[in-house]
Amino acid sequence: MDQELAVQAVHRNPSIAFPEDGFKEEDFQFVKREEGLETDHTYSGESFFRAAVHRFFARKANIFGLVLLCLLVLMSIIGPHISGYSYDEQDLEREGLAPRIPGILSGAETLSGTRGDIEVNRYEELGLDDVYYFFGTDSLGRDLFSRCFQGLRVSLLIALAAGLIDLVIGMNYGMISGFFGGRTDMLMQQFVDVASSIPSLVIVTLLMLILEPGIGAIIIALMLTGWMEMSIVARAQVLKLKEQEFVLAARTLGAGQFFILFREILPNIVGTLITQIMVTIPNAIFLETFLSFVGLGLPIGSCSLGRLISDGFDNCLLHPYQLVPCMLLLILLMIACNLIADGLKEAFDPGNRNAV
Amino acid sequence: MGKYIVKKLLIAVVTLFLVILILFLFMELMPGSPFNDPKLTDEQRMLLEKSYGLDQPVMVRFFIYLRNILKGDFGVSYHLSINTPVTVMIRSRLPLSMKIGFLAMLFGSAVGLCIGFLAAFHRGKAVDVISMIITVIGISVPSYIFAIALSYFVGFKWRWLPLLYDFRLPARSIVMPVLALSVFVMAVIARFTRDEAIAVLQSDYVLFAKCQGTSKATLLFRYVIRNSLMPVITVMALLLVGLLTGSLVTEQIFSIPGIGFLLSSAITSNDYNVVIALSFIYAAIFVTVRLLLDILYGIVDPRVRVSGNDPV
Amino acid sequence: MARVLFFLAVFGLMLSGCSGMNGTQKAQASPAQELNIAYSVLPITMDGQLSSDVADEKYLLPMSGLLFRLDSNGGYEPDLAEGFTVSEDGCTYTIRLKENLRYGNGEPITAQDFVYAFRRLADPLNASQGIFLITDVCKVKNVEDVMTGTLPVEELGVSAPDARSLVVELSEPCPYFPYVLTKANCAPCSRSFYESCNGEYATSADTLLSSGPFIVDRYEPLGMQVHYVKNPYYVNADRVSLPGMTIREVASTQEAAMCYEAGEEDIIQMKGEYAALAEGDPALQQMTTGIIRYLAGNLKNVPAWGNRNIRLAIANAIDRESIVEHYFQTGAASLTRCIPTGFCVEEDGSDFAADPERYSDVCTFDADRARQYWQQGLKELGVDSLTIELMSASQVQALMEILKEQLEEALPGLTLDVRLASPGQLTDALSKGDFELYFMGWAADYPDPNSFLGILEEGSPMNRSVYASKAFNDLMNKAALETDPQKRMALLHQAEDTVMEDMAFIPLFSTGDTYLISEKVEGYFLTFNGGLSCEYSKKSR
Repeated sequence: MDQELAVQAVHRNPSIAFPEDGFKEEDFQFVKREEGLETDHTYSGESFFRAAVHRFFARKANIFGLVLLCLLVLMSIIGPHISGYSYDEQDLEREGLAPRIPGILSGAETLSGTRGDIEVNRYEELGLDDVYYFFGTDSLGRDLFSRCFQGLRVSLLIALAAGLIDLVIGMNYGMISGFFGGRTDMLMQQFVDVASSIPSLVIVTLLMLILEPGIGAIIIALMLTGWMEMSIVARAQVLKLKEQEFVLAARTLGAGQFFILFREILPNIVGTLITQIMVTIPNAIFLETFLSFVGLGLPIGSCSLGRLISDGFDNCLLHPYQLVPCMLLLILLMIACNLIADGLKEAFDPGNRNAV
Repeated sequence: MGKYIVKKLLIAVVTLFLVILILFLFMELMPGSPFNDPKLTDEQRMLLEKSYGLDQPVMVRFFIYLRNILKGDFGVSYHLSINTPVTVMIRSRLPLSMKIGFLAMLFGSAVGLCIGFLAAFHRGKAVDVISMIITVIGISVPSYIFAIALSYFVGFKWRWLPLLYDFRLPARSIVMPVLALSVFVMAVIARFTRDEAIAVLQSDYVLFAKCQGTSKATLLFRYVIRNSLMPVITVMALLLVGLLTGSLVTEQIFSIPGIGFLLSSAITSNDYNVVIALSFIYAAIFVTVRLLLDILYGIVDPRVRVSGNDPV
Repeated sequence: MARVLFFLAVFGLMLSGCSGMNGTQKAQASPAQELNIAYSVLPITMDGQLSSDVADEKYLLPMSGLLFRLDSNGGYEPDLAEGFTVSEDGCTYTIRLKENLRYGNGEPITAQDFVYAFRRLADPLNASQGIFLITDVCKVKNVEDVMTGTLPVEELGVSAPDARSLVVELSEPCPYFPYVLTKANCAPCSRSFYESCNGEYATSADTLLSSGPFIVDRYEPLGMQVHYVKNPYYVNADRVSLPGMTIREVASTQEAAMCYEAGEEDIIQMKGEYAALAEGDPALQQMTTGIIRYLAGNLKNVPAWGNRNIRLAIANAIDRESIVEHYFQTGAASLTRCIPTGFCVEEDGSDFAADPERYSDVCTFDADRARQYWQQGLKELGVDSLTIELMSASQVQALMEILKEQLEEALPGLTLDVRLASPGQLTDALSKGDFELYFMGWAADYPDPNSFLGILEEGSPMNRSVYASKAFNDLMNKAALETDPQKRMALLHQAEDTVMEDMAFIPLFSTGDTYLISEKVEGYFLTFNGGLSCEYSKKSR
């Protein structure tokens, strides 16, 4: 019950006489105390975005994902500078050192030899008393701590690029195809059909052979293959909205095609598009690690999570610590992205069960 | 209905043709002739290119190639296994990759369906939370990491199963690859099943059935599973395409002579007949599965047939 | 409900189909009785005549009957041959075959089959990569005209006057010709069998014909696993005690080591750093093979590389010892000359490369001297800095990272762009001369300095750097015609001096293979080129 109803209630009470000189403010009093007058959230005038944000933060898993992602981004910025060793500085003398953290890890490791275990502490062998490599060193004596976070930085860069490609190519392609319909739509969809029938793996690997391997090549590969899903999602959304009344209204008022598409429809589908971006990003990160694992990744000298994992895998029997940290980072990054994507999906589209 | 199927069939054929054309042109851009072995002399190279028809113009080569593909002849391998017909190489590998893919699909979806339905029936309870954690991990962790972990613990530490594929022990050899590949399938299917089943459980007809006092088992089998399975099968079909064609990394880790390994070797050694053949097979499987799905949808849902739109 | 049942039925069918597939592939023999070997390489072909590299040999030798087979003393012993005679001029070899030779399918082996094998090797349509054995290593009469298609293959200087004698005519004497006959390329090939395969020869166990100790029982192209069973018709079958063996490819040492420890493999090939895990284990076997690894560049088209001072600077700026110690760890040695030590033995029993430091005045690790050469070179070129592209196979990525760091640190102003390439791309770029600098390995085919120096001869298809030194070519030609072994070696020494003086290529390391061989295996031995011979070995339980 809101204030107006309360006033009416007083007004209708027949036991109160009408004063001749009219009503004064003090003649009125609230029937109930303020705490009794609850606002009904169902009908509150909260914007769609607010509601989505509200729903998003209502789930603990989403907050966990977001915090994790922020932490990872932060570490990718400051991580490579913490240990004081640069990520690409080689020191062949110090190759294969086990992790050593003051007070926690001594730098000793157990190798499983063919005739029983061998206990070694390479720090002591080399007389490195006050030297600490938190994650150890790789087979060229480079600090794995710096390398892991540098690799994370590269993976996040690829994620950023994938998101932008989704927005620039996928979103526009899908929206235009869906909005204009007819022959345009048919041709554009036919193209997507054919393009998606070529295994993206083949496109990517061939590209890696033609182009110089590197981030550039991976991004071009993403451009060629990554936008299709986004375009399908954007098209479906536009198809759903373009017959609605507000579009008709805008059209009646003489709005241009592109004005309707980008000013009227776009704000209404932005949530779904953001969700789709969060779905694309883990795929892009995975693509890079996969390519590096198969041996088609980044050029030498640079480092990425995929490169680290594949290098670490070659030695994981000998030195498991070379594989574990970078693998954990990748898993955490993937989990964070997937949790956020899930959360956004539910937050923006609570009713639609098929939004994948 | 006939018209609809014919139309879909035509689209599939055109798609395949375009795929072959694109693959062929792409391969033309690849650096180098296949006969770039350092030990060949120029005269030998010319003779060879002539005998393989590589001295012809591009278009002529393409049509010769197209004709050969239709006859099932993909040429010979240049580098991987000299002079071996590509068909011979694929013939022995495709069944193995498909077998592993099918089994991974089977196992993954069986477990995934169970987890999904369980989670949907106990929505918001501990079971649901656990299933969510499992699915998030299953989707987030690349399958090769599971493969590494399995081969380390099951194969090496505990010695239950052979570490690498051994044709003398075919059944035991494929257990680990199947498990490693099925985790992702399981996670995707579980998540999708859960969402579908919840939607069905919330629907009015289930509420009505509940009000009528229908037993839980009837509810599960007659309403929930039946109505949530169709969309899940769509997802399964699309996942299956990826699995049937073999997994590059998993095949590499377990040393499985399948087509995933063949593809990665062919790409790195510039063996373009093999690459084109495998890509064609992949595209053919993909197009076929999509065609079957389209037709299935056309049968199930008459609206699709009339409007001709793809089910999204 | 019906739909659910339908899907269950489909799944059931799939399951039974799959288990049906399992059922048909019954296990042939217990893996425990057979010898299980894991190499890090896969054969490119099982067609002996088409094979060319070390990888093929490893898989081909167990099934190939050879005229001569490499033995444990660094030499060779008769296998299918009884012996041979050489003509006065050293150009005609007459080889006598043993009696009653048979293939794995029971068909007789005749001298004509060897003639056919040689003709297939030379046939331009086969484009065998192994043809250099009869063009470069030794020169069989008419081979140059046959391989260009000017003469028919029948004109090749190989003939069979009767079923048990084979005559090979060479156009110049070749003291190490019998080593050519130990290659799988010279294993007999039955013409009738070849033709019955309809172009699918050597692509499966059914289209392979064994003439050696084992019959290939299971093989798929690129199949990672080749299974052999004993060949009862083999002429030395009494020396073969293994019922069968399996050779498989395991590219990663790590997996191979896991298989070895799990008892799945008896012999594995491994990378150096894993040797630390097996320290003191008698199973650890270190073999030096005749493989050299070097840097070379395009002398003709890359001006910077054409400058001798620049080459000398790079030769002196690489700390080989440190790389050997920390990167290779075991099984490698630094190399500062063309021929690795302990490989080529001269007539008097001395080592051709007895002094590894022989060229230390031009090629050794000395950062100061490297910098002096570098400044001198830059001055001559009139530039302050240089960017050079270095191509290599992607397998040695870590090594390239080390080289880049070392060179850029030692030589101010140098930028080394490392380009990793697949083997296909690498060979393509090399054959077209489309490279600046490359890193490669070269394996010897016979224990003679010529096996290494030959790749620098003008006109050799292997001479990628287009090294064209008249002095060197003259010395090599003289050595080829010289019949006195001592004088020949002296000429080869001079040839090596010339190469090192010119710094035609930069030798870096000589490498070898490391194996873990289970104590259950006995009777294996190493051949001169580091190959592991297990044909006559035994396995105890």
